[in-house]
Amino acid sequence: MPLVTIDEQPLEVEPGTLIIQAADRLGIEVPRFCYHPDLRPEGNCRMCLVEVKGYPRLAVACATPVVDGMIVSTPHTSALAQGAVRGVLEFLLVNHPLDCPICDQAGECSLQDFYMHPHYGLHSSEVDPSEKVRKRKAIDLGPRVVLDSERCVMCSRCVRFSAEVSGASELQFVQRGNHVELKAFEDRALADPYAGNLVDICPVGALTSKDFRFKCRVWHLEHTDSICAGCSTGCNLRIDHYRGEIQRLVPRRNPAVNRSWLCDEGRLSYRALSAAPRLTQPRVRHDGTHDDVDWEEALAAADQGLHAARTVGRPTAVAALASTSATNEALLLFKRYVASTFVAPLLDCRFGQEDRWVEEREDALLRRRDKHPNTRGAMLLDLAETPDGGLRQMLARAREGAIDAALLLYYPPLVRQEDPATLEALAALLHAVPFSVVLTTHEGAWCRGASVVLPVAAWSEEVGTYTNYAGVVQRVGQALAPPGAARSAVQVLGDLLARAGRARASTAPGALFAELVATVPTYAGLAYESLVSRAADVYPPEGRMAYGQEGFAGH
Amino acid sequence: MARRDLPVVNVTAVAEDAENPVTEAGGTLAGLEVTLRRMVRSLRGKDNVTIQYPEQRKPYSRRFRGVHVLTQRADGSLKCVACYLCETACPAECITIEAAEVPDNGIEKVASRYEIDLSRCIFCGFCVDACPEEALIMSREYDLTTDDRDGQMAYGIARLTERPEIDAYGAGYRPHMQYPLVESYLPTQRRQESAAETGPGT
Amino acid sequence: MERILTAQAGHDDQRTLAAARSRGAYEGLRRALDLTPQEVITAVTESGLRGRGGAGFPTGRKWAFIRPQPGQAVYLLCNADESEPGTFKDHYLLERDPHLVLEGVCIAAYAIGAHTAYIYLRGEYASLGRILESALAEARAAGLIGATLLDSSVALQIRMQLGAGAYICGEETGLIQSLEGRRGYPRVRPPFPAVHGFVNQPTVVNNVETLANLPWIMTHGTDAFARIGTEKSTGTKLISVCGAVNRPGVYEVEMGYPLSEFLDHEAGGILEGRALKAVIPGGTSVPVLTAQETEGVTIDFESMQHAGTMLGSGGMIVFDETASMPHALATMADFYAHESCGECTPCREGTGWMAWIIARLLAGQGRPDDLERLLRIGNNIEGRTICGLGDAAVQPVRSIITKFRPEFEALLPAVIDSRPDWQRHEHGPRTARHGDPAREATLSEPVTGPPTARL
Repeated sequence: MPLVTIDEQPLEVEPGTLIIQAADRLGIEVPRFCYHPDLRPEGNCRMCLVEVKGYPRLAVACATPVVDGMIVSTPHTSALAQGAVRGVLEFLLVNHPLDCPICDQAGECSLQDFYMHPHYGLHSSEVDPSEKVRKRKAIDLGPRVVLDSERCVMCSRCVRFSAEVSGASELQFVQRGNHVELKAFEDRALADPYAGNLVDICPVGALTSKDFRFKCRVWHLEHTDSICAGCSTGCNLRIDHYRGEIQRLVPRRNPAVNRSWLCDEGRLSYRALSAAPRLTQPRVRHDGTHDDVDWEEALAAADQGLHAARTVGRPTAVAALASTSATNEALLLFKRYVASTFVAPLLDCRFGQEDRWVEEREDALLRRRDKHPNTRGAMLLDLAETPDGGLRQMLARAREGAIDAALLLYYPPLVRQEDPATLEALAALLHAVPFSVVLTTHEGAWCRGASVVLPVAAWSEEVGTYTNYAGVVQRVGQALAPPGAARSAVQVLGDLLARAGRARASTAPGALFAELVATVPTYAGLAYESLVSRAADVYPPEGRMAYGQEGFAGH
Repeated sequence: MARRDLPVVNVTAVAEDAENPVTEAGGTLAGLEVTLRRMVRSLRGKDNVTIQYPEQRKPYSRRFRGVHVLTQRADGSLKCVACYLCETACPAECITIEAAEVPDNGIEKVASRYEIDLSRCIFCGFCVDACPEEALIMSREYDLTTDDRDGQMAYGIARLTERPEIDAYGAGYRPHMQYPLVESYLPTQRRQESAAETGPGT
Repeated sequence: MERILTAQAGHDDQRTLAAARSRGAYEGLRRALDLTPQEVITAVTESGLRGRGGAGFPTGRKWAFIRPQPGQAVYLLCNADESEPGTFKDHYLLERDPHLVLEGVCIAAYAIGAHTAYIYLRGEYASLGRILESALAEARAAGLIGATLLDSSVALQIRMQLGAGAYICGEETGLIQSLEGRRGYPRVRPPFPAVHGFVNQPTVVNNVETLANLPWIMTHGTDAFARIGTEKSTGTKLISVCGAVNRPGVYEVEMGYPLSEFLDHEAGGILEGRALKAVIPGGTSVPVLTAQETEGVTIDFESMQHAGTMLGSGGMIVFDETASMPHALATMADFYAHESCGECTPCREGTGWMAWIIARLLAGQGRPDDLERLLRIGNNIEGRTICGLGDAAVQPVRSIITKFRPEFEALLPAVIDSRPDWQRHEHGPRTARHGDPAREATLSEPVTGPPTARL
């Protein structure tokens, strides 16, 4: 294993490791624009110049593999390297427009960040604004991305992403010298379903998000780490919110799951939460219409109704269906409630073909066909029990009059419209059973037939875990409080369990997860605290807290 | 320890002295001497520091920090590009901004909502210091009164841009004190200039 | 003097195969094919032949770097992208003796084990391309090149590719990128082309003139070549001289030939008997020599380096006393700014910035510290770039300003207005973006800064 010493700190690395990667692991900051751990190195920005003992010229840390015994000095310890990097930064700012006041990248801009560092910047400009090269600005590149060619520093991250990662190959440089411009062919709208990543990886404000454009400043944002609930891949992301509203979703890097990428559907999945009105108050059906009631009354009605629903001559036949968009903890409590309260429930998690689709890819990169984040988790909890598949079979039995009551935990999918057939089947089920309790997030015509409607928190409003298609367990973070009187599903189910006389398990996230670990053999050895994704090659490194971007995949 | 060069007072003796009303009255009058002298001079109109506000007003500095003004460009559009620096710098968190798109792709951004809650404002001028565009300055208007705190004290774009007090009090705290506004205009200036094609200036 | 390269070029029919063969064309190839490839490499190494494109790297040593892995193909690329300002020597060879060049390509390809060779020809030399193509067609038709080289069992396909007007495509890896159909953006090295070159295979890139030396070396032998020239700069050099001389043109001189004699005899002396002012000996990418500095300098790699410049490509540009060095520098700076590919930051921004500063100096709007600024920019470019264009752009700026400084200082305005920009405007807002119809109209197209100077 080659040994490299950077700024007098030694490190053993695997062969082929680049100097910049070794520096990141040591927590030594080497400035960079064009290097990105998930793109092929190009070495064109020249910001990562370091001094290597014995080499005649400065080397680019991003394209130079470590050799055993290498001694490297970064700008922090080498005057030569520091002078070079200061020169490069000055060059980058020569033609850069004075756009900071109107540029969305302000606050998370590599140019700003490096300029404010005494080792790299804080020089006085020697270029009059009227001398700067002018290029085209505010070019519409389709529904996700706006291009400003003046701000571009020609790092080529977007060109490489488009060519190597998404394969769309929609961006290229044209012209020469300081007239080089980034261009989409004929300024066509980007057709890439991963175009949103271009915005993340652009270190400056050349490629900006249309969805986030001018919403607020990034320093206003609060950050909550979470997992995408759009499909069974479970991409790691961060919810950026301000004033109680989600402003954007950005990916977190996890080499094992999504590298540094998010699909556009997942990126915009938060919009689905406000696409329809939210349920904010529990409801109970009196004389054919729903009345808003308080939780006490609603829970009492639910508990009573579920227990009272019976047909003479047989134990209560309950159809219990929990969406695979629910967290593992919610599913655990759901199953416990149903299994312990009723003798022979029809218990399932399938509204469609989730279990068949959970691993099927939808494209070559990230998306999967199953648009639920926790199908594998549900399957590991043995929730796909009914032999012929959940909702359809339950509906058939209900139509035969064989079901006394229904308990549904339903979340509308975030990246697609729900299949109308599914909504119809749900509505039909609710009408076909004498008593039903629905836990859901949004208003919908389908739940009009429910006897009790309990509003629950959506994905971004609760904590818990999802298990992705491959069995990786990841934590969901709570960014916002649920609206109105809505509560987390875990809390509601815990309350129902308590009313049913079952010992009230602690609904604290860690405690529930510990129970999951005890229940599911696959989860043996996992601990809740360590579930925060810590890949072996965390990027950016822990030491780089200065910009508040820890975990942000764009850098 | 008492200093050796200062007189030492025998407090018991002083207390006994005070029991004499004549001495007491004399002492009080002596203490009132300054006050009485001042009163007589003032009645004769000699030196009087009281001014009869609002008929008389004290002149304030050219860089006085009064009520804010949002400046304009030559075509009357707001100079403000909603960069949020003033909102961020404000220690009282009294500025609220929302941004909007502008078709001109040399400018791109403008404030669609810009509000200063003057009941929270401490008139420190950090917002003017922070503004990179000379879009926000302060006038020399200081008498801000209202009978409706909730409704009248939050100034929006309309009142910050144009109100009679701007001309009446003039421009105060701004980025380049020794020069007229360099990059922007006050409304009357702008109208004068476009009418007479002369340079701006206050 | 023994003429290695130009012996037959004077004949008008030399470009036809029959005429060329009658004068010995392809004899060198025959000799080479009688040797093993390794023997050819050894012979060329011992001859001391060094690259004639500008870098002067020993040719045999460059070939020896080729060690293909099993399954790899080797490529020989002939760099005919001659774009170094002042250089037109390859033009001469390609036009007058194309078979000499083709023969050299064959010998080199044989030596390194390449079965495919490309000639990357500068797009502006399209007319030469036709000459070359027809020579190639004749050679193929005669069975000299193709499935079999002469009557050996060695196969070699030679293809020609025309460039499209980019100096950067004469850079080794820029050429390779262009040939692969990509933008001519040079590659970060290592890995070097000998390991990962054209389509990631081991590749050698040789200059036209370098290759043109090979037939003679094969026919006359290593020792004969090594005896010509100096100890470390063997053989001859083509010099393309232009500028203020009476007889500009391409001349072949023995390495070690005194520069001042060359200017007086071959080049015919300075125009109208004027005094010599400066010489750039090897293309604008090498430092300039003042007239005084040319004394004692000989035309070879070592002497030029000793004098603080380089032999480079041999593109010699001569300035007489009437030349304005600032104007000359402006033309050169514009060239590098125009030709910079834009891939890496120092060259992309630095060349453009230097060109502007020189332009504003010439326009009488220079700032007092502009000369220091130019030197500082040069120092920030040199050694920090992906390829040599950055370094090349710095040499004329640094050497001309340093050696002719008074001419530049004379351009600085007498009265310096050191007020900040926004104070200098008498009327109206500084940025004048709005309310200024003239500026409004131009905002829709890219504006490139102050106009650049022209000679």
